[in-house]
Amino acid sequence: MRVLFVSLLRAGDFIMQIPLLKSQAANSEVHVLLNDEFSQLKDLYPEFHIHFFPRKYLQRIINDQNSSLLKPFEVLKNTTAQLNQLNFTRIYNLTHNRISGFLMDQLQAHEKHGLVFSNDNFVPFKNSWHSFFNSTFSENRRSDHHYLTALAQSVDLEIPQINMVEDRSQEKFIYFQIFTSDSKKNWHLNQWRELYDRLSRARPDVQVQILASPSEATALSAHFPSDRVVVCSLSEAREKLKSSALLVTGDTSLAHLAAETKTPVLVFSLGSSDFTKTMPWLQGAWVLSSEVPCSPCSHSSACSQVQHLCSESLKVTTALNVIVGILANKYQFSVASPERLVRMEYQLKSGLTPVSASLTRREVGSIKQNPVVF
Amino acid sequence: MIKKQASNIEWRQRSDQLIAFEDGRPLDQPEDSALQIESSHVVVIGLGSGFALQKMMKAQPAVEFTVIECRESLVSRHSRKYENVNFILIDSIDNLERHPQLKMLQAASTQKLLNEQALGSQKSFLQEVFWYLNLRTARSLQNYFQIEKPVDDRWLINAKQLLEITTPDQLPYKLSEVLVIKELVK
Repeated sequence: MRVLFVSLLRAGDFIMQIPLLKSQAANSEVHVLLNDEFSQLKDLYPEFHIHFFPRKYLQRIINDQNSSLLKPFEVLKNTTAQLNQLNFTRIYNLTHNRISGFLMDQLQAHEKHGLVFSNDNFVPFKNSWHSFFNSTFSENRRSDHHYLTALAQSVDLEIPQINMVEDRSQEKFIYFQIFTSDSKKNWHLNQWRELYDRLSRARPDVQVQILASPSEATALSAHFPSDRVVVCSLSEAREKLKSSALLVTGDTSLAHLAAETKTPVLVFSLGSSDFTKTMPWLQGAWVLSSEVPCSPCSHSSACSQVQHLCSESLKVTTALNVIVGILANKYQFSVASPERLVRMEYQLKSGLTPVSASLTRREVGSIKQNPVVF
Repeated sequence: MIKKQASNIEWRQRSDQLIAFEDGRPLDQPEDSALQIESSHVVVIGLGSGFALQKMMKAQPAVEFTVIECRESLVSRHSRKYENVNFILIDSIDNLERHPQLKMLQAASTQKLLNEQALGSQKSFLQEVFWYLNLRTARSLQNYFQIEKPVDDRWLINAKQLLEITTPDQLPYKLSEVLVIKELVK
């Protein structure tokens, strides 16, 4: 049986969806359709047949006045025609956006799951999970269910197995992944640097290294000792994670690679990152966020505040205490409002869920000092 | 309306190469590179001495070539030399619709290449033909899709304009294909 998964979001979303694909790989030949800007994912998952939707190329020829006005249509037609030659038995649309729905109309299979456009309309949702997924994940609201739980159920797949963090207490490397795909999800660079210095002093027995993609290397080398900045591909980063004590990261692809490799991880969930939806699919993953009134903000717009409130209110001292505590196998922490610490735990009724792991102290006047601007 | 410029073509021998000169200036050079081919049928607009065409034919012998030129002396010399190439001589923008082959060449499956190194004093004229073939001018668009309403022709037509002035059933594509492009245009 040949199955196609349409995954036209970002690299991190696809890596998070991997458990769904793996659940099908045992009895199917798994193909994936990804956006062409993520060609490096082909090396990361050689076990899948990866095809690319030429989104970037289409956008380029749409804006190229030396190209035929009809060329984008022709390129699109050829792309789907090539995929249809593979005669898929089933297609799962894991994307849930309009483009993917329209593409589902052009792709042929005996069964189609997820958002599908057909006969000039979107096909009504098949189950209540699909409606839930549509209303919760298309809008900026907190969710009672993890993205993967809702997505799996909405496309009639079983909820994938949840990995559990391994004991890495004997390992000697802690990795930082500093930049996310969106500046509003970033913790400030100077806060990272202070954390690096204080953690290196607090735990001289472990070495902190900064993981960097080739495009991030220059910016990071200006802030950290160059021998601690490790430039690597996603595949190389995954190898490093397999023997690391802890990954400290923003909401990035690496957080989901940590889940895949069962690596202890602490995620700074800031900006549009929502700790109730898209945290690593990993029992025991830690998440530090900041519950300022504008949090989480919208994916599609820039930070609306004069200052980057969520980032600034997440203190270095808190991050340091939590990291040192995690390394010492501590499970309860005290953090100051609006900071919030959660741990991803399996719950019988709701699946993998963020569970509060902090006794929250209210920091008097903290919100007043940083007025929210809407 | 852009018109063809009056110009004088003469051929001069340089070592073993014949080079076309337009009003005393060489149109192109033997060193000029071939254009990048992405299709099995290529339309080359602007011929010059034929150096680029020659290289492309050598590199891609299976590709079908059509050449569009406005200078008769260039076409007559090359059409004898390259029997497998289809030459179209155009001397006025006014009567493009009278060339039945052009409508076929406007199809997206045919790659249009503007041979910029060989345009000479006919640059504006041949560029206009190139945009006509790529449906980037209001006139070509109206003619191709049989659109009667006026089209803003101050700039080259872009995809957004195409989607605004046509209805999905006027385009030779499925509705969902049109909607994908519409999303990308946003």
